[in-house]
Amino acid sequence: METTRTATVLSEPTPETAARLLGSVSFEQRLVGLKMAAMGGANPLDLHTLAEVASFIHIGDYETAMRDNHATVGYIDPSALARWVSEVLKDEELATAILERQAAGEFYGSVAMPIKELLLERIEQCREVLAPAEPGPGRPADD
Amino acid sequence: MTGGYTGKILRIDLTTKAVSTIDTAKYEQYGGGHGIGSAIFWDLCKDKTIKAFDPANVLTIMTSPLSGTLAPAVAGRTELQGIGAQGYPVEWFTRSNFGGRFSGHLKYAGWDGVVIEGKSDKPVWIDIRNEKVEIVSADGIWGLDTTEAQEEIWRRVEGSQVGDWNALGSARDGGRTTQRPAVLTMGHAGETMSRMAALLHDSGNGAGQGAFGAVFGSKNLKAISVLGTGGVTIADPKALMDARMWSMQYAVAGHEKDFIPAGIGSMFAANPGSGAKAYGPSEQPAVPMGCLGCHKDCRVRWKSGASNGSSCVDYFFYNSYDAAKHGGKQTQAILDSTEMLQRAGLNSFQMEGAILWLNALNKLGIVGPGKQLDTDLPFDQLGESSFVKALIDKIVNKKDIGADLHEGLALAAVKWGRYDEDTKSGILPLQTWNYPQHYDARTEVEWGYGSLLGDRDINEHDFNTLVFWSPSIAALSGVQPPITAEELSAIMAEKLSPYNDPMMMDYSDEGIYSEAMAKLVAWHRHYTRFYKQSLAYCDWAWSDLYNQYGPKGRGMTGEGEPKFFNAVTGKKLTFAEGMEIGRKIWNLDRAIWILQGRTRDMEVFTDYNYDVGAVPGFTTYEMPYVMPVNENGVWSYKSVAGRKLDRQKVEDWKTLFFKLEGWDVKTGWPTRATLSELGLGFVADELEKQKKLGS
Repeated sequence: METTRTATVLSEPTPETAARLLGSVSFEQRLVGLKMAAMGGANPLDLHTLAEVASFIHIGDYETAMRDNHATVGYIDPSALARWVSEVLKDEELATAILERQAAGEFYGSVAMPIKELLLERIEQCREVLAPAEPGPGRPADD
Repeated sequence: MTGGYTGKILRIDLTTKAVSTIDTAKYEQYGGGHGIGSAIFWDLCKDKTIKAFDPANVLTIMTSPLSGTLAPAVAGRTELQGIGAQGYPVEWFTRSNFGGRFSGHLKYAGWDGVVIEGKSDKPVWIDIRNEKVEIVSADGIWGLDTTEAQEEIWRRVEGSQVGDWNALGSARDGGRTTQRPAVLTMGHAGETMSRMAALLHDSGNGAGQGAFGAVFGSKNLKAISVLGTGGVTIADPKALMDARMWSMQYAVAGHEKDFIPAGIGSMFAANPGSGAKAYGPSEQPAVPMGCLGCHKDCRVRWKSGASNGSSCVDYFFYNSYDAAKHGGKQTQAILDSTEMLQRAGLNSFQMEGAILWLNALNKLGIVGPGKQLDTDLPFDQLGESSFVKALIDKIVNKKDIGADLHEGLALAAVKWGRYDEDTKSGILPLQTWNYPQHYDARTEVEWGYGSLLGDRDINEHDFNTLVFWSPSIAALSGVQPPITAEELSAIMAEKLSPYNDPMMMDYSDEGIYSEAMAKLVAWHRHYTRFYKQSLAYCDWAWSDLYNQYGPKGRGMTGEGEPKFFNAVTGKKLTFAEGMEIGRKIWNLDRAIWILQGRTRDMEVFTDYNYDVGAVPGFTTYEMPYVMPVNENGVWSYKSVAGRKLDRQKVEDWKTLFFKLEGWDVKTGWPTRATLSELGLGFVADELEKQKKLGS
């Protein structure tokens, strides 16, 4: 399956934004995904962190689904995701980038993995921002 | 020559320890499996209003005439029935089913089924070796998990190394085998009579729904073991071989040299291992495994050994949490969690609903340490096997919040004062009768209606793969489904006799309340009652309505089912006659539910199905539910996501359905005319006596 990627360079989040993006939201502010499996069912799943969302999004390739008559999909409506990121996590830049990647594709399978990658990049950025400062070159680690 | 049936059914009274037989011939008109089970239950369970744990509850464990034969995707299924412990608000007469080799061994031992009555005063297991039947003390077995119990019984029956010859008779032709006994057992959950308790056989063959593990527990019955050295008489062996070879043109196995993907929806055709390998760690080697005589082998053995033989919802109850915890990848945690569930003997559907609900209540601040529902359940370990281990321990041992969950989701919710609120919001996703949503009744209505008018989540995928999965996965993938909606409706118009109405495939906002939808649900109820649950054709391969390998996409259904049945039995059953037997069994079951207290006004979905639309938003979800619709005479696949059911229209639809079935539209009770037409005059007599006959 072809996927569509657009180069996205997100600016470094502030420590406050990073902490919010790595935190857990309340039940009322959760994002609900749909887990789908042939035979197993199609049912909602509550997601409370950006990391959970990034892990959840997935879709296998159609050829495998055809061959095995079985596949699983982690579905999140990209528009709902962008709205959640904007309104709950207050990260307008990430929300805009999600919508850009959504617009670059025509169907879920073509945008899901690029959006997942985008979320993982943002999570990594946040972890770096919040990581303890590394000792600079030439400076003693402990003085 | 006749074949298929052994001619006798084993009857065991655990109270008196009496062992006797029932002549199969008396019940052969019902075909086998479920039909015979319902008829025996009708005759032997005099008071249908008793509860599941009453010693007078009658449990039937039935084979089919096709069990243990070469007929594909049918030979290994066993049908269970009785009053189940799961139903709410009434413990309905219900059914479950499992694969493996148990049914084959029952036949090889000379039995068409086993009927269990009464209650033993002490824990026992039943040892069946051909004609020899013993009720044996379960000392040393009671307390073991489902795997350990089977291994211990194997040791006791075999008495030597696995794989050695096991002689069952002293005479030279008394019979011998290298096979292990086929054992059906419950685990700790059954011993403590949890309403989530399942029965397990070998590895991964589970009868989960209905809580028959708890019914075993109530009877002090740990396990049934059967070892047979006989065979199944086949009326026309050449016809059976020819039929098996003919059917392979509809399967991947028959296309080694001209392989093309089977096409989503071609259930009979699918690849080996397809029901399990998507759920485990991708880097862990696995090989396909399956049930007796099956060409398809849906399940797998993993290199680690954990969760071997499991499939589908065995994993689905927890795989998303595993992935969420581990960076989107499935890990050993899902295999270990599945393994623990199987060993404890718990129903994975109930556990899936429990985890979803508990997680929501935890986030709401209702469940957790020091909360309203105080528990030390480690929610921070959700996604790890340690969370599942802790939850299982609490449920099976009735500790902490597990003491309430032990009674099943509905009764726990009632006790916690949350049933109405949480089934209205949908965070407790019970669709009907204490059965968690499997597929959405708001969109895929044939699934919801069938469950509502019956006794349980139907778990019958005859249409699901064609009307939901195939078009939805195609839409998500940006491709066209293997067949158009118009082609699908045309195939169904041919296949779904006696109705033959193409509008049965219309899942539009109008179509779901139409008479055509009533026909679809009726066809489904009648087909599955006979062909799937009585003849035991497996849900993972049959019905074969659409098949990409078949001529113009036509599968075997209509021709295949009676072809195998007739070859084995020597009868001359037509497909239409089988459908009528299915209608007869469906009406017999309906009569039992009515005697248990069923009325029309009880048959309503939980509130979320009417009140909550799955519309886009971050606290709901937009379902990619793409289904066939007919709008202004034009067929297409279209998303029906966001739909709520209309209460009045559902009631109007029920009236259409009751009329179609020949039932009283005010009560939903069958009339004498309908029952008499089906040869169920004796059922009408009893309903009339109880003042519950439709008019």
